[in-house]
Amino acid sequence: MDVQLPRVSKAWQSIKNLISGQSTSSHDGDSIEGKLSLKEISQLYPRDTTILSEVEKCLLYHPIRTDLQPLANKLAESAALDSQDVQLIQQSNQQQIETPLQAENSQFIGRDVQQKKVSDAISRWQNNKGELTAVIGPFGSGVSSFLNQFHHQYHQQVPVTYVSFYHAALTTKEAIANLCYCFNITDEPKSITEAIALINQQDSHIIIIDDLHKLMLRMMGNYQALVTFATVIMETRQQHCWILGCETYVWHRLSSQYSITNFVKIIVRLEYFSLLEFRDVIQAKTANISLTLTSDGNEETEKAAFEQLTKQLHQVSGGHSKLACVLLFNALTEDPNHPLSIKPICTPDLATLKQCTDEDLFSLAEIYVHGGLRIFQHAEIFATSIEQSSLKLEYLSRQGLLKPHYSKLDFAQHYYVIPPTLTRLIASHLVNHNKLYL
Amino acid sequence: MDDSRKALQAILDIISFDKLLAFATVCLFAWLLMVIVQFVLKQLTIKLPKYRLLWSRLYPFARLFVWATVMIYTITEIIDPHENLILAVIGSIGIVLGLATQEPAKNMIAGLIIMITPPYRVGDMVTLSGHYGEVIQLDWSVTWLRTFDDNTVMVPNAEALKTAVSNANSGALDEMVVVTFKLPISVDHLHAIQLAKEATQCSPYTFLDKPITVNIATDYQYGEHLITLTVKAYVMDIRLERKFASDINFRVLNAFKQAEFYSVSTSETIDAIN
Repeated sequence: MDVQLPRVSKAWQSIKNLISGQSTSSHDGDSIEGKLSLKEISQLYPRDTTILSEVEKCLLYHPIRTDLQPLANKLAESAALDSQDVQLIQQSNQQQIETPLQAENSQFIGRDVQQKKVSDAISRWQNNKGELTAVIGPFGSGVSSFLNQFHHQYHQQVPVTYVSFYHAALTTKEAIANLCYCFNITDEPKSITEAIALINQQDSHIIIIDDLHKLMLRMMGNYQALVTFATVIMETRQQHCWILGCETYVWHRLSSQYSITNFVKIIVRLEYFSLLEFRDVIQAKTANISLTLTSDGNEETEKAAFEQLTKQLHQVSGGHSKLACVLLFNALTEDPNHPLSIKPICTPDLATLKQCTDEDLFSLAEIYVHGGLRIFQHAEIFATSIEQSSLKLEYLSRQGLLKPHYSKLDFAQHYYVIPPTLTRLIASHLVNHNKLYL
Repeated sequence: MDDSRKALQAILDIISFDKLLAFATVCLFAWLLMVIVQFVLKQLTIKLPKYRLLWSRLYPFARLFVWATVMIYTITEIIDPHENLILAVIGSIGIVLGLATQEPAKNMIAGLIIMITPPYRVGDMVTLSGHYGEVIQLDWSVTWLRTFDDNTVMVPNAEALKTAVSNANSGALDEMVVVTFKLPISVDHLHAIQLAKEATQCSPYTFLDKPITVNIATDYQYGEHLITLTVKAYVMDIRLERKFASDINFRVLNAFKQAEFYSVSTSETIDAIN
């Protein structure tokens, strides 16, 4: 089965390029004409430098709400994190990132069926039939935005707390402490029984825990911490309405290892946008940039061209709106003296991913399911030295497959995440290579 | 005499230049087709390695089908001999080949049986004739294994059918790996089981869709009572079997040493772990 036919391979590549109408001539070291390398995509968003262009702001960062206090800071202030964590998070906040859509935001599109399911779950809880609810979806499908919709919707009726932990608990005590922060309980209970009793004494709350994947860590101690966490929320579900947001592959892992689906009664699944929803998303994003696709001024032609553009973007991005917006932004040509024009949409070039070794892919898979890893955590998970882990993660970061958040205090605390624009592409590659599974 | 002359003429007709050329052309097409099939399957393996076992299994069947078609086509359409001639030739050649190639023929028939009712397939981890490794190729007469020492072992198919075959994964990509640990009888066995299970769970190569089990037993060796813990877990990919076993050993030993289950001085090791 080991046939090496370089000429046939070359011919095959040429045929493929001919069919797809692409040329193999490269114009720079990183990308092929008609294709955009993963590194370029990850550099386009989130940008480390100041954003100057209005078009970029509208497409990639809108809405940036200055009134929004990043939750990570709130948690850090409440002593959930140590000084190093605070620094890490502050650094990450310096990067321009789009915040999840806020409650009652007119830009929230679709998800009506799922919204009804969660509303029904809250109604049932208000009628003393509370059960745990989970909202699961792949990274970039809008789980955080979706959860945020319920924050404002219910906050006048009952206290609503929206939290996203940055610390995975590794002991029972830490797990209890995490849960106590949701209720601002400062005197931490000594045992799980005390914790359940104390939390049940609190006024009824809706607690939205986003990014549940950040609570799961493949390190010794986390198993017991998660069991404690699950027990407490299970025992307090009548008093408080717990809504959990989690990534799909992590949810599958939690289901396999902890049988979490046996305890969570209402599971709401989000997928990437369908073509119709996607068209609305692109329409909303391009509404303020006066993008004209045709030159004849005919409304019908313009509409048809827009339909064609959204279809193409949907096909390339698979409904991942952030990736689509980056590809669209890359295709736009800004010139102050001319109206905004558009070049053909580039497709992502997966060559970097294809070059990854098995070990690289395992690292990417773990970073994906954890939502990000620090160097020392990577070293612990892969049983390697911190130096080796540092080199591996830095290499992947230089390939554009990871986004680093550097700590000034300790290199072992450098934090690496999958760039938000590449989550779908990387996940699908990892599934095909048997590193992630559903 | 007439019959003999006719038979001779028929044989001469078979080996005419036209028929030989037609036969060679058909063989060339078949060979080219097999190269293309092989190339396409290889591309599919690169593109979708998750299904690599399926792609590699298709090849032996494709080869069997193509060459069987070539043989049938050659006999019925190109040679098209008189039935008496077929019987005479088959009879004569059969006796000669049967006597001369008893073992290869046996292997080929065994190969056919293996393809039709497979005790193992390409990609499986099997023990054949005392050799443990991955089946990398399934030929008509032999099976090729690649051992963990990177040796390629050729096992005659007849030999594979004659003896018991142990198949570790039976067509799946994941495979169970068993690792055993010995502990002094004095340690807290419940804690040991918990640690062993959690340490196994922490390995990035563990296939979490299948259960991790830890069995306990007692043993008496060197005048001492011992606890035997057997960890059974699934590895994500059969090719990582040894790496996974080593990883479990590493993690569980770390956990046991940190819990001070072993009486030897472990301060240096614990420092290294921390």
